[in-house]
Amino acid sequence: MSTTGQPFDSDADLLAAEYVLGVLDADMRRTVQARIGRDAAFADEVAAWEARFAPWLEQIVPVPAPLALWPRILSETGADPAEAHDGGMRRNVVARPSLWDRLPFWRGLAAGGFAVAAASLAALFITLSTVPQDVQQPSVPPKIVTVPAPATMPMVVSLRHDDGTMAYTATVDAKTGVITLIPAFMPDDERVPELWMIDAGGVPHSLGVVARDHAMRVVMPEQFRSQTAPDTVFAVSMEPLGGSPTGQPTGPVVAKGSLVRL
Amino acid sequence: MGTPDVDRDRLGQLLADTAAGDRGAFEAVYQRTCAKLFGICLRILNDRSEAEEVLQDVYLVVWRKAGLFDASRASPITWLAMIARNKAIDRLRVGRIDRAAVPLDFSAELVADGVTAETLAEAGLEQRRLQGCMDELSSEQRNVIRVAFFEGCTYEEIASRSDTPVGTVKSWIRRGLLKLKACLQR
Repeated sequence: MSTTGQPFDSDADLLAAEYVLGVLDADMRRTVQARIGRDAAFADEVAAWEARFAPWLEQIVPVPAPLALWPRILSETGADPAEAHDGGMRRNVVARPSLWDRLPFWRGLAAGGFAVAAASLAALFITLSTVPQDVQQPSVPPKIVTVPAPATMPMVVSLRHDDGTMAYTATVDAKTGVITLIPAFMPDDERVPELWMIDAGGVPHSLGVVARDHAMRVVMPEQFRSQTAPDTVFAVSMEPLGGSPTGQPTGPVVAKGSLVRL
Repeated sequence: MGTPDVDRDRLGQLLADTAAGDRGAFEAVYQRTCAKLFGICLRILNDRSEAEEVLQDVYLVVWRKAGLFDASRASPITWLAMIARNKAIDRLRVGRIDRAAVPLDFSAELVADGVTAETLAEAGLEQRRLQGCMDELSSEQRNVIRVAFFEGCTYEEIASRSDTPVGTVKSWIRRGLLKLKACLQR
């Protein structure tokens, strides 16, 4: 701590540096952000500091964004997500952890669970109409109804623990992308369950953190609907609160199963 | 993959088209940058659901304010990355994520994440310049500046987590920033 160095060129320069470094509190940040909007010289100072630190941002490892995000963003911009094309996520898978990357890991899965799946389906259809609505679904008052058989039957998947007990049962409608997930047995755990769809290349894609104690709906992103076919594998891993921090499964796979058509 | 210059120009053009309301261009911007920006949000917030919400905000800002991108001031990816980082830090200030219990120790040399001799050898000129100038700082200055940048901590948070007086932390950071600027301008 020998030198005091020369002073900053101006208080504005110091303030810009502190803002970009990220050490200012919430009030100061708001003040600075307002000033950036009306003081071009100050905005230049901020941009200069951002350029100085920009190389550090290159060191941050990219993480595949959750697939459900693009449709949400698009609908917020006023577009109809149903009309969106690809959603731009096909080429986003950057990091692939080794275990999950290996297809044989998934080949061990029998397409079993059929009988139980069939048995659960009746229960499932009754529960369907009482399922809490996900954020993307319009709110409909719950009511108990007997559901007429839909024109196209959804596929079902039984996600089982290693010992064969059922963890979740789900119906998957490849056309609308709606997955209705009903927990059967999930042991207490401080971590949270996250649902994954494994693509044909063996790469898991997050469908988000799911409930362990009540039924819920998950909407599958558009570009995966066409890939959803019999034998498509779904899995549940246990992740830290908030879900996998990396975008790929980090915790143990506690349940898995493959899709069957009834 | 094109050269960096071509990528940069293309992304700049996509931002210009986004500003004109072209959703296809917006989608292409998202496609090219969302993994990078999500990585940044996660690095700052260390919480997946918070990072997802922030990432959504980031792209809504991009959609509405792409016209503010100024190629003479910043590269397109730096502009986008800084929006993500700033949004993530703003979210941090809301205070739902509590890191007070995670201690900081600046006496030891921190391992700079992602930086190894190998990656640095492959890194661009800008990376090596920044690293070279950081190496001229005292270890406290270097460590505290890195932590502040990658975790988005306030002076007060750094002080309490490292059990160091706020005045000392401010002094490390301000002197370090001065030296850094002088070095980078050489």
